[in-house]
Amino acid sequence: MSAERVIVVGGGVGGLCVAIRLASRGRSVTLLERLPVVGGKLAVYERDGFTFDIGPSLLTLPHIFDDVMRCAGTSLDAELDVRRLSTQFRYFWQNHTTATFYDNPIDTASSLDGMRPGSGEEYLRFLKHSRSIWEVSERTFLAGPMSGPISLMRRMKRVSDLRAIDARRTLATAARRHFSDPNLQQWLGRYATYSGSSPYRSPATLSCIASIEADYGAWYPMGGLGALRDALERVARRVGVEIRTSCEVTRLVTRRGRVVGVELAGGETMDADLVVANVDAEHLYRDLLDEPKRLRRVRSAGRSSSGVVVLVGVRGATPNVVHHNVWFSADYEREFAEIDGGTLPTDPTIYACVSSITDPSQAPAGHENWFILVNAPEGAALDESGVDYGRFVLDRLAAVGPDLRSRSLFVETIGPLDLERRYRAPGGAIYGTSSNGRNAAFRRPNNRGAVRGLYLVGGSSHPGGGLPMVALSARIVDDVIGADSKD
Amino acid sequence: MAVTVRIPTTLRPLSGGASTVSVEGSTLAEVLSNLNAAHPGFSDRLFDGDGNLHKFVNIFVADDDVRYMDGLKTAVASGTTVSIIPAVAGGSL
Repeated sequence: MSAERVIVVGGGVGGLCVAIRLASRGRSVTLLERLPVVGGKLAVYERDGFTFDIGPSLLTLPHIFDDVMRCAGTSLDAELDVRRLSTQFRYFWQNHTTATFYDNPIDTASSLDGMRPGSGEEYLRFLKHSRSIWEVSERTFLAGPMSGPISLMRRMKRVSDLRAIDARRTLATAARRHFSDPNLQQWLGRYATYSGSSPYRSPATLSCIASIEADYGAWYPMGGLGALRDALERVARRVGVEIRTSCEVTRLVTRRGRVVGVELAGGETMDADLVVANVDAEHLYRDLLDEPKRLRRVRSAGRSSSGVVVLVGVRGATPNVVHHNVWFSADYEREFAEIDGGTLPTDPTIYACVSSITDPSQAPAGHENWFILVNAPEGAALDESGVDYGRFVLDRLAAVGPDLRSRSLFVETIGPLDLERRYRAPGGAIYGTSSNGRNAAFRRPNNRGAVRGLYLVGGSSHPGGGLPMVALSARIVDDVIGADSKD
Repeated sequence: MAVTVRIPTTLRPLSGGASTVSVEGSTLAEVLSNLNAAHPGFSDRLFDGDGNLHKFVNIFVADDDVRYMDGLKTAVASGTTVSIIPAVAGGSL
């Protein structure tokens, strides 16, 4: 079996991780990437001495990446200087309140008490609940492939596990139950956006992300998230993965219900025993294979939301900001109603990552690299409204927080349609399929593909989007391929 | 002075499959040293080359992260649960 030839279509983080795992097992792995660089949505933009991570900007659950590295005989520490941030996030509300979240939950609790006495205690109590959701989720939902409720039930040890994952109410409902301060209800709801979903439609299970940050830390690889991409690429080559960039796959070749190779843009075909697709599942089943049934299923899962990225090179140091900052909208329900309705938010929640605060290599001396992200509906065109939405975001930020406009050396805006073009992500959906709806977890495309020998890795397949989930999908695919090869 | 140590799925091969192990010890250092004596291999996974807790390992005594207690010197009362918090499980297909 070790002679099996594997082609990985797409060099996103999931593709790189699965390539490393399979090559480390002695398989012959070729990774084909359409763009000139690997990394997929983990991408970097450089201009005038500034470096911006324009995809993921935060690393959580680093041990999952350590696990990938250990498969290859190295470790995350040996490849990268990853730092655990002592100040994780600062949140700003329009009622002039602020809270800072620290690595130590006790410090966070004190900060929350400063906002409203008693909130610290509520937070610590909530963390215990959040931790128990994660504890059950990681050994059930995240431990293997998901072909429907049955596969989840099979991994549950006891009936109480089903209740423990808190999937029967929405995140917004849970937030109201756990916190009396509307600010903190909004804070908890924001975790839905980590998978491009709405707190009013996604399950309370997502509240486990709060304890993931509190217990496992918020991490930053020195050199930026781009350094993580570089490390994955370097390790992949070291274990023998052949990486071909600027190489577009136009079709998967199948014979008698089994994938046997891929067709490239130039017409060349390459044979393979196994194909792992690290492309958006919608693109896979619409363009690379003709699978209308699977395509309908992918579409029924619903696309995650997209975003508008605004990159600003800023002169000087901005007081009161930390590495990760969030300025909340005044009315969260309205913001998500606008996104659900397909319009760009009129009062968007603004996330800003200023990594130069931790890592001076990311901006020229005396400057800051502002990566700003606001939620946007998938498929939204930026110029439709006639206003420059990037400028609008900076105007909004000036109204609720710092005014960067007079200190900005340049402003670059990336919208949903740019993301769609660059990453072949339909609608510019950042996280593949959404977590909206009670059954979203079961509708997400299976890691086993529509034909034999085909596997799906990455954000649009189980268990979903975001760096740690994508790295987990690579481990699940590795396990599944191992199991299928034994049959 | 028995203490219960919860073992995450990924480390259970070291404990012969057991999800909890009962060991003696009044500090975390003693507990982990006795755990390794009973089931060799744990120290390699929990400590870095300098004998400190590995960067990516999180240990809770009762509900508290030892990172914010006294680290390896954290006192562990009899009957307490020490959790090596789960590094994502795998292998359940």
